[in-house]
Amino acid sequence: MTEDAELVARIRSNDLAAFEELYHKYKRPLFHTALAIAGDHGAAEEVLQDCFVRAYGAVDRVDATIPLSPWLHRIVVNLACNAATRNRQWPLALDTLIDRLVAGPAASPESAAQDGELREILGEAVAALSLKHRLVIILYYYQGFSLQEIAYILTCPVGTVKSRLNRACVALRHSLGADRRLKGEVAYAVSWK
Amino acid sequence: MPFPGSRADGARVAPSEEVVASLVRWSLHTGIGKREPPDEVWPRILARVREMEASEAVIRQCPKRLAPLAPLLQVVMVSAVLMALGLGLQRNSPRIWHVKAAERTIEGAQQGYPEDSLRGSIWIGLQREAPGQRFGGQSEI
Repeated sequence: MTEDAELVARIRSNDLAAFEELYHKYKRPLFHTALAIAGDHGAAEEVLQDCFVRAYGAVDRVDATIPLSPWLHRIVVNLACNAATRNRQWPLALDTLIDRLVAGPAASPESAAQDGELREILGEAVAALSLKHRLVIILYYYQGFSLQEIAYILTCPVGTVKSRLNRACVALRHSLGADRRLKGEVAYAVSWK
Repeated sequence: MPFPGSRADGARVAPSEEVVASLVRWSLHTGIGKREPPDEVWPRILARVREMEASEAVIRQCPKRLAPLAPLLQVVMVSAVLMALGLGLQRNSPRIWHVKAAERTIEGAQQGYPEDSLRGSIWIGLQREAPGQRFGGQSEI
């Protein structure tokens, strides 16, 4: 019996300690996904909260023989997309994210300037992607899900996920390649930090 | 070392898929990888779950409490439905019957032809019909 299956069995018998274990096990990746999609810390918190409440309500129906991460991500993605659509903050989500990441630990004024430029370029490239393309980028590159798992999370065929990922990558490559502001050394150094 | 997306002659080409992937991965990991959900989220979830359980328990207990009253409730409900139907029928009871006076529809009847003239013409037509044209080409006899 897997760890998840054991937790599900305990939760089904109204063991709230098991539910807390489940929360602590998955809270970080789910919160990060919610944050990347919704773009707002408060909205991500709300999404995380709603996700676990819904998961508790539906725990009797879940297939405990498979890992719970894709199932929980399915709930989070749905809720976060709703939140993003409702708040209309989606186009700014990753811009803000990149702002924060690049403005963080700047070693020197020079690197800060370089990071700032990269931030702008990445922000524009990612903001140009549509919601469905951003979703596959986040789930594939950040969360490391397989194509099959993403297909399950997004409720679409694997072929659709592949084509979306391909199109998103092509779009990013084109926009980054066409951007003359992107100095090779800067991007190369940053990409392997 | 030059950026993989630039060539020696300075012309720019699109960066490879690996470079884009690593750039995106790096940006997401650095941006949100260190962020933690606040500690107050779990107590809120717990409160909502307990609230949900309490309301479910009330729903589950309700039928048990109402079990002795079930036959009485059934009788009340059935009699209410019957009364409503009865009132509805009574309200509609004085029905108005619309009777239309019979009128001749054939112009010929007004012109003085006998009443059976139409039936007679049909009968003559049937008699003239060849036997092979009826009952799939076979005669009746």
